[in-house]
Amino acid sequence: MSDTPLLAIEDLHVKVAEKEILKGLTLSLNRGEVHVLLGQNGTGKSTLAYAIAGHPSYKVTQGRILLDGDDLLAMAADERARRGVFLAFQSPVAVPGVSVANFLRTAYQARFHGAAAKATDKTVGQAGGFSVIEFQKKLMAAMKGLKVDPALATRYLNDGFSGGEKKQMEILQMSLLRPTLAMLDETDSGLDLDKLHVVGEGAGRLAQEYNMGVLVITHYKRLLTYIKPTRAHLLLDGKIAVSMGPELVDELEEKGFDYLKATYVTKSA
Amino acid sequence: MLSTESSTAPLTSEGVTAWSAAAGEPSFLTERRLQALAQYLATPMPGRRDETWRRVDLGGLNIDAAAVRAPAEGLVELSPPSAEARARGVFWGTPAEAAKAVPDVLQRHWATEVFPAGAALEVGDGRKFRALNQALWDCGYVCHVPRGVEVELPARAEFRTRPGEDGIFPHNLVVLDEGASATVIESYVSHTAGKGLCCPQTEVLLGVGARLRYILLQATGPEVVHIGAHRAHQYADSRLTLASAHLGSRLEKSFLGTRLLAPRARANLSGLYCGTGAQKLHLDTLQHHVAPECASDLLYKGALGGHARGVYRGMIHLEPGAQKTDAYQRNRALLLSDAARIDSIPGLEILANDVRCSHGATAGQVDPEMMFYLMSRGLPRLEARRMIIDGFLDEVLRRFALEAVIAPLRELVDGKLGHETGAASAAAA
Repeated sequence: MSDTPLLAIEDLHVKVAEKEILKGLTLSLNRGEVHVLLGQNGTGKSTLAYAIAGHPSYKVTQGRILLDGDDLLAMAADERARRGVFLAFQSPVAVPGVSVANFLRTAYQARFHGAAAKATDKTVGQAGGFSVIEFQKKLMAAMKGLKVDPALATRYLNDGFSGGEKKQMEILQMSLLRPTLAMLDETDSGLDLDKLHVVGEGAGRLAQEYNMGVLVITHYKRLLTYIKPTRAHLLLDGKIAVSMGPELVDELEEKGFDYLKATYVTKSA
Repeated sequence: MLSTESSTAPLTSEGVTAWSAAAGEPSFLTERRLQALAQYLATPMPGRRDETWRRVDLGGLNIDAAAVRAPAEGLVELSPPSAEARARGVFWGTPAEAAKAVPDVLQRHWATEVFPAGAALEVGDGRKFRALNQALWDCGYVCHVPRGVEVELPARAEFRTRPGEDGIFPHNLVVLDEGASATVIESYVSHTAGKGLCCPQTEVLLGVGARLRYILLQATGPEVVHIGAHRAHQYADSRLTLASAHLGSRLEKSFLGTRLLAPRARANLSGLYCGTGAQKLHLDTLQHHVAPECASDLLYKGALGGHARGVYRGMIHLEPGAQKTDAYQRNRALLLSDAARIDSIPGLEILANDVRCSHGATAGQVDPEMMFYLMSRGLPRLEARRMIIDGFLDEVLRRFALEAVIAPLRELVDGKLGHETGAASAAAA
């Protein structure tokens, strides 16, 4: 292994609609590691994920984000994705009229067979080494692995999906796109226990199988029984206030944010 | 084939009479041409004071030039009628053939009921151009399906505009007798450069329980002015599915609609429009409920880029007798550039009280959150945009129902918008 971390974030400042949300965040993550981001609402956890994924409304005003040593900020969102960045959205948007199968095939092809390949042309199934039939097999296997109803493939993307179906769809995409860096933004919210098990177990298995680096944003401990964190960070006012081992999660669960702040955050300035 | 003295001005009774005589038309057709000509001459050109035409800029349209016609072959290509359909009494052919084979159908229905020749039609519609079509029609088709006969294969008519400033005036008639059913695909294309007028008119009569799927494709050349009228008269329990695509021309003004004249008639009206460059697409729809317990459901969806402008005018008109009506009308537009524009002008005239009726119009741009979502999965910007636009139009595209129509239509739209988005990004770079 080289010394270059998978993800290196240095002194990151991010503005959303002229308001500074991240105020100098530094973080380093290697493949195979699972970092959990803890913090109350509004501390910048999702902002960090969006900034890494390349949402145009999240303006980086200072600092760097490197993926395998390369400057992510110089890349548009689609290029970052093709390089292996993946964000499982907290509330994925519906795209009416676009079928799940068509979308997944196009995304898969963009990631693994060159962005320029035309995914919709069924007659050129072998173009660019891409086989529609092989993809179909992969898709079916992935759906089975995540207990996704196969009927979902013919529906419009996230359109009229239940909360659980949306989260399943996010992890299904993670499964097909096999990112090197997976960010799970409250993937456990809005799930009943059965769905949480399927989604959490699936995400954990994928992360391990492909040796991903994982950033998990969550308010709950449940998801972390499936994806074991190697490190935990507490965000406070746009910065990482505390970084330590996974025991931080248990302490938070038992004692709450105020206790953590009082115990670990040195009252500087 | 027709031949006229080129020295005879077409927009005179001498010109029209000579044209009709040279074609060997029965006298009732000549008379209707002359009635229409009188109406045409008596009707002022629609202008800015006429609400229906207020936003229509006819620009450099030269009707006299468009009306000067030389005889021409190949204005229309009709699919061959199947032997089986013919054996069951179905007629599918040109008006000239119809005049010989089914003269009674022509005599009863050609320019008599849906768009009666010479009659002063409703104020504000395209009557000047309807009269022009009825006086000068030079090609067309007639489809007659006798009682109880169901025609499986679609009948196709493809019209080609003429070169230069010459106009084309197709006149079409579809008559489905009681319980008959058929599919008609009518398209307008340009194989030559021309800036003339394409002025079609289609009259549809659906007898009791008749079912028609009527697909219309306007894909004329970029300089053409297209002014069309397509209307159905529906009798009891009839079903009309009218799906139209509006892609071509420099300027289009089309009137599309149906009159539900007897109980329980149903109409499903769909329109897909796609304008780029400086195109102007004006679409006027009519859902005229005369009888009770009828239903009409209209959905128009379009994508406009460049400096294109769309004007949608929709009228739901419920007569006092039209109780228990269900009538819906929706127009949704996606604007692909800052300079593109859509005006939606819904009209409701409801003279019955026990009805369910609604209309709605929306216009918006490609949703940036959808763009980010698709791009965050690796789709390049243009591909993400194309996918969102295709998805937006999918709802109305599906209403064309026939895969043989949907697939090429999707390609036409993709090709058109692909060019547009490519040009836009090149300009931005």
